[in-house]
Amino acid sequence: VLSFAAKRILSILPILVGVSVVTFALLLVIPGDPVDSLLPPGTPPEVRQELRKELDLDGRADERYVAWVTHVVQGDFGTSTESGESAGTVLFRALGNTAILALAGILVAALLGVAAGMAMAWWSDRAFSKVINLAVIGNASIPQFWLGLLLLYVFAVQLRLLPIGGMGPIVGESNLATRLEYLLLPAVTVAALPFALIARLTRALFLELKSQEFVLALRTRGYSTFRIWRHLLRNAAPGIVNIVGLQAGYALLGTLFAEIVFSWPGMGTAIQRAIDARDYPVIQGFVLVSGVIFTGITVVVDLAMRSLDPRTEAA
Amino acid sequence: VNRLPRALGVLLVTGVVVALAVVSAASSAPARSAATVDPNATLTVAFPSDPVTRDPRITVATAHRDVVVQIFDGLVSKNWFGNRTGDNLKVVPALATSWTITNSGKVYTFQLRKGVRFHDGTPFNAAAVVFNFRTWLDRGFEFYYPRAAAANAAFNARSLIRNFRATGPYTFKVTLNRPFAGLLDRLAAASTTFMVSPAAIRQYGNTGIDAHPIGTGPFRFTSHNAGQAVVLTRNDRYFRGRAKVKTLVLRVITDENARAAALQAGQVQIAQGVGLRAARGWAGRSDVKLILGPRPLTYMCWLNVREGPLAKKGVREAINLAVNRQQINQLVFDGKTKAASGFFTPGMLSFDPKLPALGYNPTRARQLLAQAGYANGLNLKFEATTNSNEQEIYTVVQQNLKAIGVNLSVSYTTVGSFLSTQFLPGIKPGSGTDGVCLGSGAEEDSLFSLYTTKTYGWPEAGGYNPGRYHSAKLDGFVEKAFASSSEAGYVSNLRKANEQLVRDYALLWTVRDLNVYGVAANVSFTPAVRLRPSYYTAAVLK
Repeated sequence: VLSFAAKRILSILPILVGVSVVTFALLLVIPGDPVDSLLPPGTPPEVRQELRKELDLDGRADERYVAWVTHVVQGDFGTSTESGESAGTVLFRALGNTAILALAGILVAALLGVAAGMAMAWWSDRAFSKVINLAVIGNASIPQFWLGLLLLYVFAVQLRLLPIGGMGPIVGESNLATRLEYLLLPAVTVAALPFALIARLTRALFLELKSQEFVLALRTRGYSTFRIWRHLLRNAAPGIVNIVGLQAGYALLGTLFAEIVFSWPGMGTAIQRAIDARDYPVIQGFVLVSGVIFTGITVVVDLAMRSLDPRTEAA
Repeated sequence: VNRLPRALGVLLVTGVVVALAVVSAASSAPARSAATVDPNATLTVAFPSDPVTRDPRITVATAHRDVVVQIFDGLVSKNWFGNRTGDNLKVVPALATSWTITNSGKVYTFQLRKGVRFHDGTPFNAAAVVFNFRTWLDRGFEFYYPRAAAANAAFNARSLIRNFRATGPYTFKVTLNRPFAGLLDRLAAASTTFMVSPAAIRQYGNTGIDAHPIGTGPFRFTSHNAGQAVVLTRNDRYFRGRAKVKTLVLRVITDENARAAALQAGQVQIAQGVGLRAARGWAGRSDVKLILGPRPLTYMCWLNVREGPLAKKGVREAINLAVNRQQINQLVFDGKTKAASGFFTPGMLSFDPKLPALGYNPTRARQLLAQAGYANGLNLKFEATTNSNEQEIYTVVQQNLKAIGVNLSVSYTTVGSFLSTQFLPGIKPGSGTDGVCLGSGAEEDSLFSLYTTKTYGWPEAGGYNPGRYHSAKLDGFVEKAFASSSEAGYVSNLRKANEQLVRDYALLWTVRDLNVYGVAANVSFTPAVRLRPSYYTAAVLK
């Protein structure tokens, strides 16, 4: 297992190198100059040049790339040209906030999605299943941005039950309960789309398993329906992990919308800002870290599936 | 025998009447105090973005200045407060109480305010001013800050200022190499010149001021939660008198609809920058109100006066006459703004309220086009930004121009790439671009020269005159304005320069922008006619 893990992890290195080269090249090509947002109109060209030098924007592209990679490997993402803060600080602060939201979203989506999927498979022949199915499809078709605004309007503006946005109270006491209040609406927004997909895929998975011979065998031996479903769940586990793992990536994307609607200070807002200001170190850091996360998720899913289902070793 | 009970009765009745009066007075007390200010209130403002820095010296973009204007002061200011119209603006004392300008506009001597302390308790005096100037002008200084120097590089501050020194504990003298009457204007408006506590710079270093912004202003910094909020507390010793709220919370809500929603939900008391569209549903509400005011920004396009059809003045005049500014006002600003009368707007020293707005005369426009040889119409290509209101405005302009036979195509890009590719480098010869449009404004009139003259404005000089308009007359007025040693001379010459610009139709002018705030019913707030708001005078009522 260890050598498999090592191989899998090593295999993502070329992907990351590719991602970093492409990002670096893109930033060279796209119009814009970080210096523009740092200088007032009427700045003499020599002052402009001075500042470019200070921000390490001069010099050959290949040399700058190598310098950047060398620093990143040592954990130094450079300095944000916009704020003068360490780019790593900007990056990991935003990433941490996004992670909280994405994890909460995927947790909600996984729990509700698997439950709904199983319910639809269990009662597949009843109208009830069709109702859930319709709700799930409807849910999947709602744009997340709009869903967020709708939730915000109903629960925060009209009913005034939940806060309008942010991660917690700005002044006053903040404990786990208040923090969960702030998390609820954005997490539901993030969960909506993955929930629908997880529910549909779980349903398909269970319907397929239900029709297999071993279920019939168990039934003839007089197993209770509940025990049979426990077996089904055990058999479905690798498939569910795979589905949820794949959705985790989408949940991360979904946070971008929820962050804007609910003023959640995560990656979505931070990267938008970095792009506006042409804050190269921050943009590069974000793309690289996102690459690590996305490939990281696939590796983790692969490893989890392997430990849940030894047959994947052969594949 | 009967007397006593009667007297008792009178007493009783009187007592009841008095008691009733007291009770009724007491019960009416809350109603009366509805108009009194709550001195311990917290005012929460929904803020469009988290400004990148709290260090005023590096706040180049006006969007970065939202927080620092609450914490810091300059040597001088303008009569922004309580000035609803912004059309009689003047430079007024702030940390300097008076000043003299001598030697034909080259020597400025400031008398500084006594008894002012920075938020850290250290005194403000001439030594503090010298310290601050050295951080952005003196390369040999231990606390020289290159980014602050870059932020103050407009007009080449380093070559402009010959020297500066304290000539007494509360006297500060600046000597220039050439006259520059825009200096006071700059010291009032540009937060890059605001006064930071020298003790704080010594203790935390230049880059530490972001986390420890210590000034003399109405609010002192309490905390910053990145991407979420800035919390400020009233400075009880503020030299203009203390602010009306105890705590000011600037809460970051980037989405415009979410800002409006936060106000409606009662979670903020002021929503800064809500769109008129979001506020259209508030008509019947008693808990929120819309406060509108002029904003020193005009939506305008610099025209390619070097080549193409717009090299002819008659065509430039024609398209200016074809634009129906009242229609733009109605459709985009609900009729609440005004047509432009040139570069200067309310909120700028040189704004002339008597100068007429640009006219609308499509018949004359058609004649002018025919005279210029375009009787069968022509095609024009403009570049603009995706900033709010611009797409709506130029859609109306397109329809207006269509009516006189001009086909205008407009491409929109985000402001970052627009500045880098279209505006700052100037219109490239042979690019086919006839105009570049940007809502532009300033709190500082000297910036006019960067947008319109050859010396300061052409792309090679780092300026903002992308159409490469040049008029020796206009440049002459600007030089005269800068060389004058009185505000009157400065203003009158800049006004003449503006009129020249309008006469030459160097730009296509549309309408002025608005400051739009959503405000809770229990909050009193008069927005200053500025690009960035100050919450110094805002109050929460009991």
